[in-house]
Amino acid sequence: MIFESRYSGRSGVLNGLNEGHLGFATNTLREATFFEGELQKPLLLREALAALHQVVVSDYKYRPRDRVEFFAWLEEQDKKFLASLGLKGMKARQRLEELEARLADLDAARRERMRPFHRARRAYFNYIYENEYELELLLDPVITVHPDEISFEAFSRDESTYARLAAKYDLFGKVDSFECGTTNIDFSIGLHGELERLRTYRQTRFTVDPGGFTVSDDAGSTLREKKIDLPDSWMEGFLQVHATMSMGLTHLHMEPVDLFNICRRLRRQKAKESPRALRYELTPDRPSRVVIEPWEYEIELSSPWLFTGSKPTSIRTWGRDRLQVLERLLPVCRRVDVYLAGFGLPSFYVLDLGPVIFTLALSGWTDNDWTGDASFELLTRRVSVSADELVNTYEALRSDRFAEDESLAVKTGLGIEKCRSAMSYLCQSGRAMVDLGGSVYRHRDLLFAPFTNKEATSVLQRSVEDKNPAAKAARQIFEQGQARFTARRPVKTGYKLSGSVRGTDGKRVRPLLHVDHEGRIIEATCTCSHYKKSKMTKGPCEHMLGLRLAHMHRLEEEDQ
Amino acid sequence: MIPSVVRLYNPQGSDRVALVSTEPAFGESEGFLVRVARGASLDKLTSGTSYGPYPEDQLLARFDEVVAALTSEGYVESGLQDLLLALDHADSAVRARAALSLGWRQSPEAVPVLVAKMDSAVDDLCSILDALGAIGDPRAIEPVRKQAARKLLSRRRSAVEALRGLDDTVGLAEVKQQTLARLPEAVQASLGTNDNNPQALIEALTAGDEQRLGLYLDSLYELDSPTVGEAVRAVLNDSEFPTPYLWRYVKSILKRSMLRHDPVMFGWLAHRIERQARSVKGTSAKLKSGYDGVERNTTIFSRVTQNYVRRSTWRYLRQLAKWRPDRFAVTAANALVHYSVEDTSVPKGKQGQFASCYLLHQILFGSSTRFTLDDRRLSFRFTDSMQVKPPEGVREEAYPELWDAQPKAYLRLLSAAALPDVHEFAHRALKRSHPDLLQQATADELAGMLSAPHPTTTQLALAELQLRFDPALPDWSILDRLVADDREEVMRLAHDWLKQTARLWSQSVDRIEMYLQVPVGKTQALVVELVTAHVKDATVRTNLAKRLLERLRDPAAEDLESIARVARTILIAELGELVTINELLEMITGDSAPAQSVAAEILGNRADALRELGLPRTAALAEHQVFSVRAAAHRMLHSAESQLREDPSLLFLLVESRWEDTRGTAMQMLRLVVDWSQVDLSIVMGLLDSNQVDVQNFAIENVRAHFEQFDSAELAYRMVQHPHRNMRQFAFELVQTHLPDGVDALTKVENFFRAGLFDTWPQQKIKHGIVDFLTQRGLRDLRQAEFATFILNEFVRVNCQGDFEQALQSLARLQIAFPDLVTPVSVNQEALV
Repeated sequence: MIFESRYSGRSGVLNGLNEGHLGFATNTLREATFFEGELQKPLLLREALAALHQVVVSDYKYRPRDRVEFFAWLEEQDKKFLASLGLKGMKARQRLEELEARLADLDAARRERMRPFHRARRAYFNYIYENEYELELLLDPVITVHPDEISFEAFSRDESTYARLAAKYDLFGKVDSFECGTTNIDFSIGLHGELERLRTYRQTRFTVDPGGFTVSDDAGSTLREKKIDLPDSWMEGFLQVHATMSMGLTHLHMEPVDLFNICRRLRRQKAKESPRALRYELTPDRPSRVVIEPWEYEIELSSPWLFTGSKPTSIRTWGRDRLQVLERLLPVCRRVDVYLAGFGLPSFYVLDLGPVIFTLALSGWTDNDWTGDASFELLTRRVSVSADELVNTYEALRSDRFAEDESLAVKTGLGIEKCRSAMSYLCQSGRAMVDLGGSVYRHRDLLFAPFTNKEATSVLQRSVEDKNPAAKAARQIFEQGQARFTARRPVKTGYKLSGSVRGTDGKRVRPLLHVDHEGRIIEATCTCSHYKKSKMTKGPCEHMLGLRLAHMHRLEEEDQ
Repeated sequence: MIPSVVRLYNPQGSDRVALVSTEPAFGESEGFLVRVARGASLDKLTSGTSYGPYPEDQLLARFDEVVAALTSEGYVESGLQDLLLALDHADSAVRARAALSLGWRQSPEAVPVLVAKMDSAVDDLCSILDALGAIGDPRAIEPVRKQAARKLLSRRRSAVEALRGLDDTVGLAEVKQQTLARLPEAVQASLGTNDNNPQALIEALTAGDEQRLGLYLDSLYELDSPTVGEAVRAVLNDSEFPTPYLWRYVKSILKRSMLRHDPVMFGWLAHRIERQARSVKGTSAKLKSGYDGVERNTTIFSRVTQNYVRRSTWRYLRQLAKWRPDRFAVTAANALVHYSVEDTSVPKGKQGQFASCYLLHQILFGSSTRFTLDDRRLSFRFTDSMQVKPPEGVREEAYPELWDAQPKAYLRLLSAAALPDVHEFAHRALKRSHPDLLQQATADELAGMLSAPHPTTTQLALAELQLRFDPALPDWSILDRLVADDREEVMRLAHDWLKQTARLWSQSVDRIEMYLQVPVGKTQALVVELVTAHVKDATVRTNLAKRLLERLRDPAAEDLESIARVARTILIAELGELVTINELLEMITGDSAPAQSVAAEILGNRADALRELGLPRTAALAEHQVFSVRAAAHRMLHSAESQLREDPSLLFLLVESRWEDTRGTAMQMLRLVVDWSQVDLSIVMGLLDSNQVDVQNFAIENVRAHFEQFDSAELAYRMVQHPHRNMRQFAFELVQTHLPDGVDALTKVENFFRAGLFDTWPQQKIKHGIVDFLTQRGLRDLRQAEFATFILNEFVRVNCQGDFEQALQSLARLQIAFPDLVTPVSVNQEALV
């Protein structure tokens, strides 16, 4: 997919002696969205944008090291070793010593001589990086102006990290005017350097508008176009993040110093062997602990918050190095909320900086992008929604810009369950997002095209069951009556289900499910081989989904 | 030369057989006898005569005299009679073979008989015509001319080639007119105008009717000129042979090349057919026969035909070896030179790398016993897996004595062969029996050897060239070729020659321009060096400047780096007189970096540049991405010191440049033109706020030097907001020494303290300094203690023993000083007492 953006100016910071202006140029190919105000706490925004930039440019995927030079050196050592075998005489050894010493001098001289070249080469690559990379590879963040906040959303280059920076209007001393909407902003690497010059002793004006700072190029044109060949997985991943946020997640608090301790340890020591997980040990009514593997380095979370679950739980997450993008936020952070989807599943870190909320979403592990095999959408429950209902829900959200599910249900006249399902579909199609910090849904059109009845139909037709064999098999199991409850017990958080399910392979297995009131899977186990092999990292098995379908059917019967 | 044995036959006399031979005279060291033996048959030679002895230089003449005497007696060459009788055979194939044999023998006795047979001949007519052409007896001219006017391709071809053999200029002139009439006008026109340029001819041929291309090519080749041959090869090189209307003419051209003994065309086409035969099976099409006019489904380039043609090429070489031995080696060499690594195949089983190279195999391994020919596939395989390696000291090539008799054929191989194994073959011959052969090599041959795929060949050529080199009168064509070669040894020689002839070529602008653009970096560098050292003459410099400027301004020109270096090094003055400031700016805004660098160098040396450009445009040039443009701008800025002293604002902009050199220049100028004792805080903050470390250090240096003129507390408040690590130490110094007392001041710098403490890769000195500072301030009063405790309460939970202990100690001191403070530390007051 070719993602096009056109800017009539550049984003930048203009600093005078006592006044400054931070202007973001918006994509002129998108809807007209603008904002004007006076920044009251520019340093906070500076640090948050620096962290966002870290996410945008981060690429933590494993790439084997280029070992050509090492092998050349190794070969040289081999030759020296073989040559040394023949050095029996004292004189020969002395001569070798002389030559080696001379060689060392020459090597040093060569390094010195080549230093300007290496320096120039480094400068050249920096130049290429700054001038070419951003135009071809770096996708600009998405900015959304809401009645209560401005949010910046970005996805890392390796497609494994998502970040959302929500700047509440408290950040601004004065808000002059704004127009709600979503667009992209020019976010060049050069801008990052300019943002570093934000200071409190300059009254800084903050604007988001199509103009930005007009800079003409050599040909006199002020337009600047970017065309990025965006992988489909990138867009899908963006949408998948919000689908995952709407799952039932394990929630815990931590103090910024706890996150600092984790980051500090990860920065200071590099794990050379597996496992390299971050293990959350959650014990009921006890402070939680984070264990850094493989050293079993234990950090007890200092928050007075205690885990409220019914039994001790251990959740491991991978790709922990990505947490280092948060380092600049640690000194200004007030509180950290962590949301965990489960073993090897995504995790979310919501950092409260006061008027700024920074949400970091990490996929299960670095090499696992959001569109991998995990099928997070299967964990959520969707009841059937018509295209008209979907469009109505969209319009209702669009008019309010943000809303809780209950108020949306009232406004649309749909039931709460239907409304949640509709929101799930809208999140999946990029028309809405989940604000994990604010616990609301927000309107956000990721792509600039009106949401019509036709698109709504197409969204509904792209059923999960069509593309996921487990969901298809679950439907078959349910329709053939092969999913039977052995126990169905209501608990405070929803239902605990145990059942006996005969799978499509004819084998009978015993799934255990913990679903919330909305039907989302909070926790699940099964005796099948799929679960034994992958746990939940590749999504729920057909047996769990079959049992949940039976539970949903029973719920509807009970409602009637 | 010692003549070989001659067998004669007399159909009339009693002694039917006579054998003429030579042998060294007994007892004479240098004399030879000519002996004649006669008899009823070869087994019954009953009488004999010896003549001589003769010295070797007279032997051949005496030998021929003896043979002539016997001929006058009625003897004819042995076998000739049989062949003449075979011309009456009922089978036309036998008749044709006999005619061809008579042609190879070039027996004038056969001419009347062959001419007589022409009227009745049908299928054997072509062979008779070929034979008459080969014999070359003028008696055949008239009957052959009649056949040359025929429409049928095979007849006309044989007749025209026979006329060429008969040296019939009149007949050939008539034929030429007819041939030209068959060609399209465009081809005729290009033949008339550009006789030496095959390119126009090639274009005319390819632009014409594709179905008649074969006919045009054959007709052109009939005209027989070197340009035409080159054009025909070029067109055929891009053609697929299994195409209707083409293949029959390809065969015709091959046949013509054999009839007229054109080694170049024969060698090229034989190889080309073999290469295509390896990958293409052929096709079929409905074609009208030129022989009987019937339309048939005809196979084109079928495997059978391919093999027939491939066999015929080797047959032709064998006939040459037998009847025209002086032509064999040259013709074989011309066939070998076209084989390349692409023709070889990966050895598999008993099939070696040249298994499918039929003609090459026959030539190079014709006498070898290591190989067996698979006659059906025309491929060779090893007879014995234990005898794969070539035997030592055994010559495996076919007709080795003929190669030795024509050693120049080896030169052809060395200068043109594309296969290293062929070079090896030639090297062995040179080493064995022709060590001085290279002395006979022409300049073109030596030049060809330079680009040979075998390093030894290149070295041989280089050694020979070194011997022949005359620095006062060098062979420029050779030198031009040498400088364009990037192989180490060739480059070494080229550099040597370039140095020795520098005085000559550095006077020619054309040659300097050419050498500056050779595609070899090291050679370019040397040329630049030599041009810089040798071009002194004012006229040459002016002309060179004009030429190089032309090249630099050409937007399509590439590889201008060396030209730019010469221009920058020695021609700046000359170039400066040729361009205006605006033209220089045009060059700078162009796409060519070398042109930009030259323009910048000129600009930097122009006294009027700053006046014409003005400071703002000069500052813009200082931000240019090409270093030399920036360097020129820097020079101009230095010359504008007085202007900048009045208004240094441009320098404050340039000091934030992304280019280190421009920042350096701006800082240097700022030191000179700005009176730092008069600068206020807001200006210095512009520098202190920079993200560039060098600018930060520059600003710190100036602030330290004139510290008394700034509001120290305000400076501290501002500096603590700087996010760069490099500024943290300076900021902390300011905080330590100039932060006002009281909690309000502390609150203003809270983020700085937190950033210093909660840094995952901290500056230890600053971190510990902050804890100490907070402790000291906390001990002053309760409110400051509360502030310090607020931060230290969090810091004490950092999982680091050193930090923990220090923070704990500080908290304990604060707790002791102010017992009401809320800290994680509880102090036993009684113990203190």
